[in-house]
Amino acid sequence: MHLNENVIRWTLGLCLNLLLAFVLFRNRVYRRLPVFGVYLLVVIVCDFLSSGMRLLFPVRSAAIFYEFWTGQAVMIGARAAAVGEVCFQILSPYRGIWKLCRMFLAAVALVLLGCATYSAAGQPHLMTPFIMVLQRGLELAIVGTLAFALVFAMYYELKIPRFLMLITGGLLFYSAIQIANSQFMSTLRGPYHEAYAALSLFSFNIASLIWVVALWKPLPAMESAQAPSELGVSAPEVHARLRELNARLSEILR
Amino acid sequence: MITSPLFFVGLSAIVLVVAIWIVVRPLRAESKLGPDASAKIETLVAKHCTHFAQMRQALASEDIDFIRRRLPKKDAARLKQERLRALQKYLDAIGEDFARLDRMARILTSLSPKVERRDELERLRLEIQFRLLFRAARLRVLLGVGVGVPTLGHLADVVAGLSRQVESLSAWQQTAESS
Repeated sequence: MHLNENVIRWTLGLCLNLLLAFVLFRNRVYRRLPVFGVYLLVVIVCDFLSSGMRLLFPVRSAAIFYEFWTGQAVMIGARAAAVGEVCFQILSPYRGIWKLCRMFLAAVALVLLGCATYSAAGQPHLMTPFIMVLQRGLELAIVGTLAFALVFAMYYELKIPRFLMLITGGLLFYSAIQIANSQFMSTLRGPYHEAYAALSLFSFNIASLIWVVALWKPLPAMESAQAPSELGVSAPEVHARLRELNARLSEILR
Repeated sequence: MITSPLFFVGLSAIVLVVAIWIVVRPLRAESKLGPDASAKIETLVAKHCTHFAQMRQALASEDIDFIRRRLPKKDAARLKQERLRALQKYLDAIGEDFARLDRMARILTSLSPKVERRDELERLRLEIQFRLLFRAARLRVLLGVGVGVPTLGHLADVVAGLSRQVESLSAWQQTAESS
């Protein structure tokens, strides 16, 4: 029964990966979102490698341990790069806003990464707590950067395409679950291991489903910000009205 | 022994949450305006704050003293209520003006190819200042205390500051459109 459940979960995960790969190539996602496309490919390759390794080696062997954590490191790195690309896609059509926000977003990511490294370095000399704390910090950096990008987008009322919203939602969902998961794992350790693996897989499958929905239709081309004339009135008219208003206000408030 | 620090930590947390809520939560006028793709930019110019002179006149303390001396208590109280109602309406109208200008500033900023960090921080400062002043003024009106001319002047000043900022932003848009 227990084995069947695991097999179902893995099979479901692999099927989702295949579906994701199909969508990725059918809609040529790598053209519009090259880094995110590479991230998805990395995930798919890592998942298949991991499944192959489990067939060749016993689950609790050193080879599986190092393969798993190396895969996690590569995937987190690729996801971090994909987050950078998603932020760019959300904010860059608005040139001024992008110039203003990119340094801020980079600073947020760097500070959170610094905090993660510092916390991980302070852990006792055991592999699992060190990795867990580092992973939690990295996920936090991903969530923080994406959240700030969304805050900027909401503040300036920027138009975010639906597929980008869904991709962002998937990334946020997976990272948020991973933060909680790593926290529980570093506290409860051994007894939580099975639940950790199951929750990781389950959350990733949900995120994959969200991404499949996001990428199902062909992706629209990148749009630049609306021209002033498309806003319904000519800029000189608005400017003249504002100048008149400001002159009156200065007179009144003198 | 331990209850006292816990009490103060809890109290500080509550105060912090309330303070953040006061500063961050948009005004009713801002929420009402909302992000509407069909909204035309010309509808976002301030309309009501220019009536400040009339409000200043209506709130002049000499007038209030004069009325208090001349009218029976009942009529004076009724008149006070009328003034508070007018004040409330004017406050709401100023809030609307601010929300409109703020929206216009955000739209123009999002279209601008060069956004100055200093200008954005200044706008954020004006926004926070206005929300604080506005909420305090509304609370005073709701409590029946009323608002003095200096407070109204402050509010109008903030709106004027934002309006000047929007004017410089629109000046850029004007050159972009003509080129």
